[in-house]
Amino acid sequence: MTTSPYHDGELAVQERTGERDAAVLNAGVIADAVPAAAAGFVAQQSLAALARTDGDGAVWSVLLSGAPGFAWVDDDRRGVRLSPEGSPFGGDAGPLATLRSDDPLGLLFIEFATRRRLRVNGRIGAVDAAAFVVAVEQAYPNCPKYIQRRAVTVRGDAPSEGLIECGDPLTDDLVRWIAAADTVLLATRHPSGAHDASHRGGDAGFVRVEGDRLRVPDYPGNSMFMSLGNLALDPRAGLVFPNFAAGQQLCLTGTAALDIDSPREAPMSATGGTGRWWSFRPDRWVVLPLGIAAEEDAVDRSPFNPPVVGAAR
Amino acid sequence: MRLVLVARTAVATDAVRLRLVDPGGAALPPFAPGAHVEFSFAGMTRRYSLTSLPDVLDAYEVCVLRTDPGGGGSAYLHDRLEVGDGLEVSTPCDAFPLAPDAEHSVFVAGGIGVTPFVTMMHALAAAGRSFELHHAARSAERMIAVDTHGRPAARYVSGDGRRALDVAALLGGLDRAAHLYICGPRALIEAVRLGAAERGWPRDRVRFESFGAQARPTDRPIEVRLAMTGTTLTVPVGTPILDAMLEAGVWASYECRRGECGSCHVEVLTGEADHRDVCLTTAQRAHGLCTCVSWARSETIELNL
Repeated sequence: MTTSPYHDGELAVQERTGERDAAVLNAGVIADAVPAAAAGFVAQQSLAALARTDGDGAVWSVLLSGAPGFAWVDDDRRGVRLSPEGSPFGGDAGPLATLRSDDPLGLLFIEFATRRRLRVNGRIGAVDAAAFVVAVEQAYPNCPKYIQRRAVTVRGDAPSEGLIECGDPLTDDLVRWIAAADTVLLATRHPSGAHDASHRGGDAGFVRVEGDRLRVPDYPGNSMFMSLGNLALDPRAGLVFPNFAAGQQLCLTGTAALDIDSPREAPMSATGGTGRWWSFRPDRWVVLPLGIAAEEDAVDRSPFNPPVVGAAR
Repeated sequence: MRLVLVARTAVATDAVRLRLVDPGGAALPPFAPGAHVEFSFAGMTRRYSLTSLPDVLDAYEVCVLRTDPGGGGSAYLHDRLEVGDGLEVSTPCDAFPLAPDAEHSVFVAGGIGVTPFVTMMHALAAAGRSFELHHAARSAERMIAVDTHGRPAARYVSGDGRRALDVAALLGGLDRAAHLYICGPRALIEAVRLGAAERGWPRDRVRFESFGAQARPTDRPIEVRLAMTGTTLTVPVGTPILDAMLEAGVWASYECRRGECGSCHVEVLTGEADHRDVCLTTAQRAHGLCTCVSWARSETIELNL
């Protein structure tokens, strides 16, 4: 028998939701190196979501981008090198401030054109002004459900560096930005420092703004609860909402709370049948450039998206 | 854990019951009704429902049907594995949970698919609950006899055209408060799943367990063109499209490998899919297919990978 790849927070949420056995069945996909087939996939990517904690203890999710080849996997598949385009490394207020060797982080490669994903968790092995290496601790594929298909291209025109705007409470413009979003990337962390970068998608409006909180449905998934398992132990979280038309990304850092003990619902409910939600209270936000663009009138929404129905409970 | 085969008994045409014990005589881990174990042997893994009772933990019993064509797993367990041989067995997994407090439960089995219901019916009988079994098979000789604890049992034989299972008539005669459990070939699961949905059955009262990828006698080899990767694969009968892609070094998602989760769903660009999943809606099938179990009716199928 092999030991469980899951930590106590993941196990707790798997038990609470009654999905422990499905999680065990699905655990076979987790590896300690990038799968051979995924190395070529990484080399073709122009986008990666990164999850990390900054020097002040705030958890951030941020999108890195570059021409295909900006990320590549070492020959032994135990390291992933990234040299993002005009990365905001130097910015003091940005999510990537003070990136240091040995920092834990989570990466998610996501190919919106085919809905393929690869998650890589590890630590920074080496870092300089233009690139860093992630020493792989966990790698696994992710299911393509709820990803809106769009053809992305590397922007040539966008300002590639620096902070566009930052602040505390959400402005009306940012509330509209979130209400129109069909894609969000979530960063969470385990008390041990291990990070996780994860995708959440749905029809526009699936993330609700309720007062000073965002409320997000937890659609049926792989039962592993890598993100919610982290949140059960450490509420800190980061969200990034890409705006592909504007070439900007809205990064939020704050704390999350789980609301996962409600009974299951009909499959066509706002949660896709799980009855599960989580909420997020942002402490701070920044708007950064996004180095990729997509034709927003040619978005093919996922056939798995549950309907966005009803108002707040 | 490593268990030892102590008995193999024929229980129906092409079906044997295997009895496995701990070589040191230790009690085996407990399990819930409907649980299965995974066997690992000769480079293969196979899942089998436990048919021994949860309150008797000195041995596990499973029933194995000889499948042809198959990957050779059932042939190994029928012909090669000898009494006294060891086998790697997982701890029991409860992926087919029973609602023990249901007013009435209805079990619908196709062939060997009756096996998970053995422990489920035992648990409901012990609790004094009401249930009924509907068991369909190709012939009477292929039907494994199971204890229904005095509850109603209907047996259907399709091979000689005498008394085939009519799913619509069965569902039409049931109260929607009943909990439905289906295990068997995909066609049976689909008929009950879609029929129950049409009749407005609550989804959480319809549970099923499928057999995973299975080739059909009419299948032909297919060409799978991967548009984004720029390669074409020739996939032989009996190899899941997913496995052919992974072997060719193509990065593809998957989880359950049994057509139950939708994680391997890929868009079909051209060609005609032959859907064999048990999870997608009509709209999702119009977009694409589950590469772990589905096949193509056209000679070539083009996928967005």
